[in-house]
Amino acid sequence: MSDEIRKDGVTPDEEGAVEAGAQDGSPVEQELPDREDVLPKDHETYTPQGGGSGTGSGPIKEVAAAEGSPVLVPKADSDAVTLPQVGPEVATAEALGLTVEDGAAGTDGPPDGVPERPEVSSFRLLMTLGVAGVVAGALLVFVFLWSDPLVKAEEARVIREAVTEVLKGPERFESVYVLDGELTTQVPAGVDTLDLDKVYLGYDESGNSMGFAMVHARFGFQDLITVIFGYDPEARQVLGMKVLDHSETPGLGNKIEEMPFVGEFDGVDTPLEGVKPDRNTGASNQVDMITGVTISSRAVVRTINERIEQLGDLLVAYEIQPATVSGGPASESGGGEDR
Amino acid sequence: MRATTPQQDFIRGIWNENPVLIQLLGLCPALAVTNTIYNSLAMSAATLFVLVGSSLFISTLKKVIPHEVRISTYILIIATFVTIVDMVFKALEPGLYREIGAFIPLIVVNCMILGRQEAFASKRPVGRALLDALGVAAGFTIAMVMMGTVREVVGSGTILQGIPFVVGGDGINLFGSNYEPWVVMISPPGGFFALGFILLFLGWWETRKAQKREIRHWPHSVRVPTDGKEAA
Repeated sequence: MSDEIRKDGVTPDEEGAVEAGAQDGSPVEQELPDREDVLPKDHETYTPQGGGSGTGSGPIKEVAAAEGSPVLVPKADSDAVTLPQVGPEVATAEALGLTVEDGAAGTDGPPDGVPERPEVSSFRLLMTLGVAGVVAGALLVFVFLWSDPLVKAEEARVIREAVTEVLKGPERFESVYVLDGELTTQVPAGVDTLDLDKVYLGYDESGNSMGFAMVHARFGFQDLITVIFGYDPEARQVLGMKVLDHSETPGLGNKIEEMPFVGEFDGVDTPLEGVKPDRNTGASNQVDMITGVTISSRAVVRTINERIEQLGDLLVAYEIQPATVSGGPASESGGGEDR
Repeated sequence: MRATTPQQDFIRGIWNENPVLIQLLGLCPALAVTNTIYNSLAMSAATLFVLVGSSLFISTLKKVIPHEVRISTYILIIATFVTIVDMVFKALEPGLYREIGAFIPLIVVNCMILGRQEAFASKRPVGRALLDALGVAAGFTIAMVMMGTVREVVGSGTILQGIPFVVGGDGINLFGSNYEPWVVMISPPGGFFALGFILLFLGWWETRKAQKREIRHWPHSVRVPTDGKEAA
């Protein structure tokens, strides 16, 4: 309702027009611009009092005069529909309040539950969220600074244990990076080692190579199965296998990380061939699959074959070089710490 | 707004308004990570930290937070606590983190926590909010451990598996080596089974209690009312 309409005032003729309109059945008096008045007036709607709310009824009369009373009826209706929205916070509080007794609104009528709230400036809203965000961020930075080294150390420990296991106890091992189709321990400055594919080269006590440990992943039954395995490029043999990560079915798919199956991979010729236990002909490249866990166990076999196919030639080429490159930039640490 | 005593604030969340068993809130963790008692306890501890921490903060800051941005601010505070829990678990208990880690960030959207902030902590003094948070967290823990016990015993045949100082982390084997575990109970559908049976039992128990009360009130009545609500 604009002010220019309202300031026109009320004339007796218009007053009569409104009453006529109201008696048609349209709840004209409900269209009160002032929210405080609306709900109390709600029950008195159908007995309109002429002088009681003169300022409120003024605008309607203008509309009625301009557009005619047939138009007035839907307009008044549409305004009447909006009336219950006087207390939107009430509905929200009840919806979110979960237990009615805790909610701001009791069961005794909407207006009581809505406390008077002063207008809050947008600046204050932004400041609140901004300050909260900054404080939260600062707090998290401190926690991260504390936890990150521990997490990195744990990752390195997991890799170290896994490499030790699949290479059958190397004296030490170092990371060898795949850079431009070659294996190297020397990474030029400016290249982040975390971005590079890498394998782990294990040495025995006298400094001879014991083989490479490689990590690879492939989809199993539910999600990626991440496998680390030891590989001797000269003999073309898999030395051992360990499942690093999987999400297979407990009690079924997770047998791929347990002993009878894991033991199948000790000293097997490549390329591996997964066979059912009763079809094992005794060939040196055959691995017994687990009955009922075909998809998961086949995924493990294929992961290893795929990885050897990718890197097998590179590994042989690298092996030719004497193991003089001891103590590369990332020896002993495994992953993570050489950031 | 019904007035409550501090004792009621604490007790209420444990049983009468138990978040999981009565209000059926926070079901995502209750179904996802309760495959062992250890995991249930760990998730409950994480939830307790987040719930108590955010309740304290929000109750303290309730006058400062403008009404218009309150939900955003609550979520920000809750998310901060959840991230802290996530980092701490990842750093201190990597084995546990591998099992339940995916569900820790989901504590942010646990409606149980936001619900307590909006309904209670943002309107009450700090002490009350703390008691309420502790009560709700205790109720959540009870429900989680109930689920975890059912699922671990039936699904693995062990109890207390994974806790390092109990039989070296392998748990106590309850049924001997001939027991074939019901594997479905430790997979997510088993969560639904366990919750369903627990709720069924509780419903039956409540009805039975109500019937007994009815019989006591009308000792000469032969017919026993079947509807628990009428009796109450």
